[in-house]
Amino acid sequence: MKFEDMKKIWDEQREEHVYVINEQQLHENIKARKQGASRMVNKIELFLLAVNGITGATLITLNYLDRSGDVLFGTLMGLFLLGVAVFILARRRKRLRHENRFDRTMLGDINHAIENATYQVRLSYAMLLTVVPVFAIAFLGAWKEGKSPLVLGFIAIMFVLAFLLGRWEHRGLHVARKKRLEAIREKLTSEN
Amino acid sequence: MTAQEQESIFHDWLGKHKGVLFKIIRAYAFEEEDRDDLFQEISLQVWRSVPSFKGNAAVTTWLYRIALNTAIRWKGKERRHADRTSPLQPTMPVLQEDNRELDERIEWMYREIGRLNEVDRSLCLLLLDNFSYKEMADIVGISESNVAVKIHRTKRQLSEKSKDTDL
Repeated sequence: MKFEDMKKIWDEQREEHVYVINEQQLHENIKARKQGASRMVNKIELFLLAVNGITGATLITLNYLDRSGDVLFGTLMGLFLLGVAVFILARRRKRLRHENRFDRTMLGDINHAIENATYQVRLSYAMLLTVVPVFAIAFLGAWKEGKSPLVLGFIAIMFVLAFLLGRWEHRGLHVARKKRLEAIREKLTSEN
Repeated sequence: MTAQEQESIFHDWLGKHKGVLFKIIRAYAFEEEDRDDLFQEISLQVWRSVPSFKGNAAVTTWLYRIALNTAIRWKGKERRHADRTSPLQPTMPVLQEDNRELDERIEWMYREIGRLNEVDRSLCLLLLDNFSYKEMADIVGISESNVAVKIHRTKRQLSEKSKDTDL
């Protein structure tokens, strides 16, 4: 059968009668999906902003007030965490500005989705990195207070678990999604 | 634009052009649950896109672009997994299949279109719905020559497949 014959068959279909739409339910589901998607990203961003911002500011303040010991490590760590918080804040503002942006072409939209996916990858990576200083602070604090090896071991195990879970989310979810979008872009633009 | 105006335009588009959306969900999703899910996802994107529509293109062209773009990125199982891990209640289905006789030839075409890769599927649907190469190139964002190459491959693939069927 030639493609032109298929086209004739295609033109015969009355597709609008295939389904009946429950419009009331559709309205409710759209509302739920819209809120659900932005609520999840919002929560992660706000959580990371709070953890990085508060921990960073606390570290810098404590090291500034008590300069009796080695303050370099703590201050640098605090500055790093504040830097992460500023990065998240800037990206969040950009994300909110472009949330409902639609490009003129499918390729443009894919590029925009890749840009968002790159942001998610960086965000999850930042979350992964945040685990390290939080662990270091908790572990050193417990060690200085002379906690038992059992407590120190528990903190270390929790750190490993949190790190592995974060890495799974980073690679399995965000990096994989970005790769899938890049593969679609490749299919769109490839000349064969 | 007020929320009410957005809502009104969305329902107007849905009423007039739902056939376009149904074609796309049938080409990209193959189980009832998946079709329902994809339809809801496309509807959400169409609803969101209403304020961005400036009237430079026909509504059908706009809808095709939004819907195809959502469909090529959509993954049914991933979405359902996300729903399970989300605190939201699972949503109720919105589509009910009409109990009419299905045309075997159309069913065969959807099956074969569904076997093409995501991008070729989009171009095939646009071609079947009378879009020119120039319009397809504008919707997808690639060159006309690239569209021609992909369309040529798709036509050949579908014609080859039709040899194995009695339709």
